[in-house]
Amino acid sequence: MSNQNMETEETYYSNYGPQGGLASGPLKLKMTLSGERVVAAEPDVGFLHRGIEKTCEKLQWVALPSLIEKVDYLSSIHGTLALSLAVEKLMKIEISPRAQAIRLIVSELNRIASHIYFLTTMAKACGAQTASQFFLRDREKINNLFEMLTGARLMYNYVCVGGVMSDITEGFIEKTHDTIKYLKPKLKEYDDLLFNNHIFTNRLKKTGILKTSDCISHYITGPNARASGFFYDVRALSPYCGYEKYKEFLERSIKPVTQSDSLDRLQQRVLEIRQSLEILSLEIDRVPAGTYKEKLSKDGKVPKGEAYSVVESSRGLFGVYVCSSGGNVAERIKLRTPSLSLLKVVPDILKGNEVSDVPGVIASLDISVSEIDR
Amino acid sequence: MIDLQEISPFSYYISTFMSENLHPVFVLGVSLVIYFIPLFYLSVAITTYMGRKTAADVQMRIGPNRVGPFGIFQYVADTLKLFLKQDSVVNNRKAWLHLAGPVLSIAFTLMAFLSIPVADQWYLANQKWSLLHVYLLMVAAQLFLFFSAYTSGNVFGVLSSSRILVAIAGFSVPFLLSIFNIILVSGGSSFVEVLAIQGGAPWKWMLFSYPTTAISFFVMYCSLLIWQGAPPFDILDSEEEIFGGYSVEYSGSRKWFIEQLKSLQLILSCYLLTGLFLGGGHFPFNLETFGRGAQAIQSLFFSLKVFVLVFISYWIRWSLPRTRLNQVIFFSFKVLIPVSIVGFFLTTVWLALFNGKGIGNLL
Amino acid sequence: MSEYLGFLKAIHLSGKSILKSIKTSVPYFIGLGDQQKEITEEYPDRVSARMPEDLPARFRGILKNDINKCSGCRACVDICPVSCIRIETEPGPEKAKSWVSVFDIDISKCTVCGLCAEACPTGSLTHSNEYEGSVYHQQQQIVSCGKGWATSEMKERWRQEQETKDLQEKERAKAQQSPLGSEFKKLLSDKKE
Repeated sequence: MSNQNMETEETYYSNYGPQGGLASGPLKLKMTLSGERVVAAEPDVGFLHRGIEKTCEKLQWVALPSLIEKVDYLSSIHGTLALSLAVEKLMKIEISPRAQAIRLIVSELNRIASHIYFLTTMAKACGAQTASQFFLRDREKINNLFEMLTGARLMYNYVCVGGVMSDITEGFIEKTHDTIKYLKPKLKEYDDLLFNNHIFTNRLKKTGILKTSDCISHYITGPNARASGFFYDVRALSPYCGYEKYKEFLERSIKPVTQSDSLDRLQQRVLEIRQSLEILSLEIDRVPAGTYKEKLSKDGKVPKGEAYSVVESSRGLFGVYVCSSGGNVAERIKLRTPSLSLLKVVPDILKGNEVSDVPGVIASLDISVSEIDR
Repeated sequence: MIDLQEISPFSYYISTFMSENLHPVFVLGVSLVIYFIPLFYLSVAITTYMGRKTAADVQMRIGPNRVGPFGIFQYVADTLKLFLKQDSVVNNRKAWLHLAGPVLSIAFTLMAFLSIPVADQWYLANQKWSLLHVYLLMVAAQLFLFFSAYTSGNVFGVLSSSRILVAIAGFSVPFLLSIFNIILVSGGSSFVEVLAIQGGAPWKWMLFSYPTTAISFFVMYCSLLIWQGAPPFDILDSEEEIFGGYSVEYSGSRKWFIEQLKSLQLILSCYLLTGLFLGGGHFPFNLETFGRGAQAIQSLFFSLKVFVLVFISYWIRWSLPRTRLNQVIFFSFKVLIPVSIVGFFLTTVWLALFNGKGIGNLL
Repeated sequence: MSEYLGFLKAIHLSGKSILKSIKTSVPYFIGLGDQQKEITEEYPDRVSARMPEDLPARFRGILKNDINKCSGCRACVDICPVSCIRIETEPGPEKAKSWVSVFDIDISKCTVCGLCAEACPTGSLTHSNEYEGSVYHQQQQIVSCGKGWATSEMKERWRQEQETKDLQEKERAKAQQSPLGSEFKKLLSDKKE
């Protein structure tokens, strides 16, 4: 199969359909193939549109986090955190240090859970089903932690306007210590099983190239960008909730590279799991005393104005714009989600790869379709 | 004029016994029960159950445990479910090839079982070149699968069909080279002759007789994995990459045929490996006292070895990630062929040095 | 030459990683240690599945309402994002508290977000530990906690109770209003005697 004059070769149309694909959600890719090589790919989205931004215009302010957390259900804490920060900016209230510390702990836990789910899809895309089961078992430990703290395993509805919904329960800190102690050696075990496996890495090398210039021009953030050499971490650049102390720690992942392939993105996320475990083990012991939730006004009204706040979700920069007209119902909520910026670059990333590589590349980009469609 | 008594004394005995003493319809029924159902259905049921249980064991799950005690009737439930589903037919001119593909594939795979002797004189065909005969049947089985993939009428079938051709090409040369190695050592080219020079004890097996036959065991095992399309080389119909390949258009009873085919191909590979390398049915101890029962014991011993090999195949299957197409071609052409040529050469050196004696005879 | 060495190195690495992968699955076959046991919970069998008693205290299961504490304030109806609660009230036996005739929670719509339990001022609306909500008809998925519409006999009984209560109130109010009332009664009773 020669690589020369690809445009004059005969091409045919194939579908990487909405069902059965490995992106986190129904994503349709209209691919033009020549032999087994991808010549062009065009993503088609909209299968998961639920009208969230419009529904937000009839809910009270207190009830909004329960809907925004369903935008990206794998990192729901980050979505609700962005919303709460924006509304608190409008209301001009200060959050107690205890609530901030709890928010930091919970958002790092959610980041670890989301990255472990990424590892599951990655292992399944390359045919290692046993490894994906091992990762899911580890994610169960974090789900159990959340169940103990908030009462639910995936849609926590925990971070709210004014702080968090409830205080830390009794056994939570000990159980978090146990989970961290369990997860750290497990990552070393997975090095042998999967990450340093020659068949696995050879499959992923040099596929799905994402360049730094593309990241900067299309404003791609998150672990995808950090693996490609564009360091953009909201926790370090515009810190919130107590991330100021970890600025140097997070800046250690600056890499002098100009592009990344699927393997680099996988390794970047494993590195971020390790970083989050470090931050967690430092933070979990020093939760200051205080209240967990500020008292809000009884009528539930938010003063007139508009505010925008950003948060580092597990996929990138998650922004929420809030516009209030003084009532107890929002006038307009607009979300900025990280996966939508990736869609413009997906055709360029997939071009030149083979059909066998497409699941691996799509899984390594960690696209969340529910975020795109809202 | 073909003399049945010379080719297969067992078939001669059974057929004369039954035709003298029983009604023909009864003969047909008995032969169906004795030969057809155990080989065709029961063996596949046992292997699929074993495969699911080993997968569950490695993945910290329980596996089938609902249908029957410990879930042993799971395959019956699967069969019933598949037969009750709607049967879909593709809408193009070559639909007859699409429908006939799996059935003919199974037919050719089953024909290959006839030549492998499970015990002394328990074979149904003994041609002079049965090793190559089996090879041709294996190629034909995959070729009909290629036809069914190509006439699927969708893109995924076409992608899968090219991969099937790669599988046929990739397994042929290493397989034939290891067969030549065996022919060199055993002096004969039929299964019966290869089994005649092996014995019951492990040091008399072909695997341990000569150091170089261990190399050809490895080469044959890998080429059989490529032939079946079994993990780690399951490029023929992978769910994520080509959405099922040739098996995506089948539903209902034809999907059951595809599942049967996969298990039968696995069992055939293990039969070949036991028959050629692990001594077949030969028992270590003397079985003269049992008379005709000795052959039944030998066949049980043969199935035990096949069982162990199937278990090892499943163990390897669930531990490894999938290889990509170019990695399969690389492995087959750049690793297996040189290794088997080197092994072939080393065998000739050994035979020249030790005058044709194996390790078992030297000790 | 370097290409040849690279070829050998690739084979060596692949063989090593294959052997390592196969080796890591051995403990799971044999079942050594705690982590290699099965983690499936055989759910309908309750052999190893968690029962509702094993769940943490904060678990957000199906809602339940203690109707005697409920005041019918409709805070939960206002806050619910999916409008799954329906409340109907009418005047009851006491003047300060209304009679909650209909309190229907539609379990098929409820997302167990927990906002209504937070908003309830009396603490009557809480989450139970139940999680099994499968039924055969959708009408069975409505949890009815209401006391039912008041019938005419009940209303008659309440009216009579309210009348007697009013009379008692009037007498007590009268007795408290005039400070001389009790002394005057005493004088009258003394005079009678």
